[in-house]
Amino acid sequence: MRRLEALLAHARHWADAHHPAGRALRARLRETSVLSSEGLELALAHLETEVSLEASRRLQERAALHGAPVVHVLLAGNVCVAALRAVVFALACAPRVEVRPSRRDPALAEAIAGACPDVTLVSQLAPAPNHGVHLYGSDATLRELSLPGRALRFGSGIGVAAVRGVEEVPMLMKDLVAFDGAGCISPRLLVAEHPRQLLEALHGALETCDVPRGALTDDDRAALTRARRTYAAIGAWAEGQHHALALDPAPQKLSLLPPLRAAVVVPADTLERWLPTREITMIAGEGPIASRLAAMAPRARRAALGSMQRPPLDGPVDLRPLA
Amino acid sequence: MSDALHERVQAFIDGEAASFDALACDIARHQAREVEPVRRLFAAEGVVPEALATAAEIPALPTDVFRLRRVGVKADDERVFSTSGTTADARGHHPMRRVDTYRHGALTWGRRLLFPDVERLRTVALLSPEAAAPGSSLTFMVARFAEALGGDASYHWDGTQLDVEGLRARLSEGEPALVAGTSFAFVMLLDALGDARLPLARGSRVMQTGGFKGRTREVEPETLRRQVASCFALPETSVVAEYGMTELSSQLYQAGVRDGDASTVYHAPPWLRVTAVDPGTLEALPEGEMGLARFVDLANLDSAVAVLTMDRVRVHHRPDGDRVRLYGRQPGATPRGCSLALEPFLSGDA
Repeated sequence: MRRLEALLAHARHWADAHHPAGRALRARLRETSVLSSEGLELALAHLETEVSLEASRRLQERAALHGAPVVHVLLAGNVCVAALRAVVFALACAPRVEVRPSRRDPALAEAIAGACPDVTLVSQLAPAPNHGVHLYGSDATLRELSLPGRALRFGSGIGVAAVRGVEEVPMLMKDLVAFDGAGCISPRLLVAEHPRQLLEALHGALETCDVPRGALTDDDRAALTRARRTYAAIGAWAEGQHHALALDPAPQKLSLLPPLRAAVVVPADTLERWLPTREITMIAGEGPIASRLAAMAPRARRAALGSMQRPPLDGPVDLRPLA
Repeated sequence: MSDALHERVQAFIDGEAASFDALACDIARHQAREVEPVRRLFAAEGVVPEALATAAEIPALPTDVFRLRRVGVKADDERVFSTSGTTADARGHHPMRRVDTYRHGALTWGRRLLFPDVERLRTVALLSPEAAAPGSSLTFMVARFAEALGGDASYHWDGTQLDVEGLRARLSEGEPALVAGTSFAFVMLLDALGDARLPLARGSRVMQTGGFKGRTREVEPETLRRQVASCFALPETSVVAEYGMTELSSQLYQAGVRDGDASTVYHAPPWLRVTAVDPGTLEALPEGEMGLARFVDLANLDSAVAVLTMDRVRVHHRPDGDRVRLYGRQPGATPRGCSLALEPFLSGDA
């Protein structure tokens, strides 16, 4: 617990734009992050800086099942604050942690290693058979990895939001804008009783958002162009300068938009027939639709709308491998 | 119904003088009436079917739509071909009200590029038999080739494994053969044979198609061609790659057998127009520039005549048909975050 408290004390400094450590982290993140400056500030506002007693208790319980003398952590090209939670869980499991950071986004991992003597950055993981190995990354990457040690694999996932009405749009918008909707608990699929109304209301709300999306690459623009035409053929499309929304009015299979502050809106009536549940890491919202989703994907986290990106610090955001 | 269009397309395939653009536009108008995703796309793009004047104006339907919706007229299907995605979620479907135009086009182009010099050949397929794979457009096509080449055909893939011993016996029979299969099946065969070779009779040829789909190690196309040619003791020009996909009804081939041309250029039939388009704007690019492949396939009569793929190509237009070089898949959005990528859900090639 003392190490956790010490690490969170550093996190409070990193989250503070006026603290020297916060300024240094921002300078480094600006070199690597795909988010806009405003998006980066919003992301850092999601950095965990506190842990409740209840969350701490669950963290310890989960860690106790995966204890090891050393835990080796492979971090994905991840949302830029995700390294903290991964290291917190690893430190709860082991006295010593070795981290191979993402080449694309190593900034927070570097800061953590600089602040925490039990955390070492490595360029290659070398676990012994009795060590723990926590692997974060795409499913395809994780499938190719074969390392000694007891591995927990945290693959790709999606967040699903159950939206009862347009009055919930402001909360939903918070979830979608953070990290440009690219986290594994970000809302990629929005389920509603009245999907077209939701599409229009959310599109209108996002037009007023004052946090710009990160710059798009040519490949991003191509992916959006393709999606725009696909949804023109099957449903509807609403795009702003910094977001994209699609409507699939009669889904038969899961379809997703590129994770560029973009989501697909679907009706609730036939979910059980077509929605694959293995991919769902987060279910947000209240009411009958959320309950149906939770019954379909019992290993997914639950959250209120507006809090999807702020799960308690009680373990990895993706609980599927721990279930 | 589109029966009159089928007759016109079959006549075009036979070489009857007609305007490609006029025929493509008539097909597009039929689809804008009868095929729901095409109707929606026309409306969304603000394209008035009656105002179409050239094939270039037809909005191309992304192949992804074949995974998400039925892309077909409302009618009984004679066949439904499926893409080879590894899960039901990834699989797309191409319903066909009539397969005779597909068959006619496939046989006509096969006769010109793959077996222009012979009337009879044994067919040895590294594929499942048609009865076991009724949804495979590749198997359907090879079965029609086999019928056209005399009917002596054997199939050596059971859905998971290659029947190497059966192949070995069959290929040792001494008569010229058309050996057809997927790239990964040929790699499996090469791996199973090791250093052994299976020399084929003079006049034999190989048609290989498709990618590896994670089933085997990946081999560069030119390396695979060289290794297959060596294994069967054939000139490299006798190993012909095919490019096709379930969402299309026409195929492209390399021209090694017809022209002795060992290049990796694919030849499109005159009833298939290929254009490289800018991935961001979908505007046609100047000849020779790399872009996404946009196909206008006259044989896609009851689905979508204009199809947008994710394959990158360079195209040179020639009076007898387009010449195409392939450059792999267009990458998806830049990876960011741990959110699920789209790629596992996109339809694969046939």
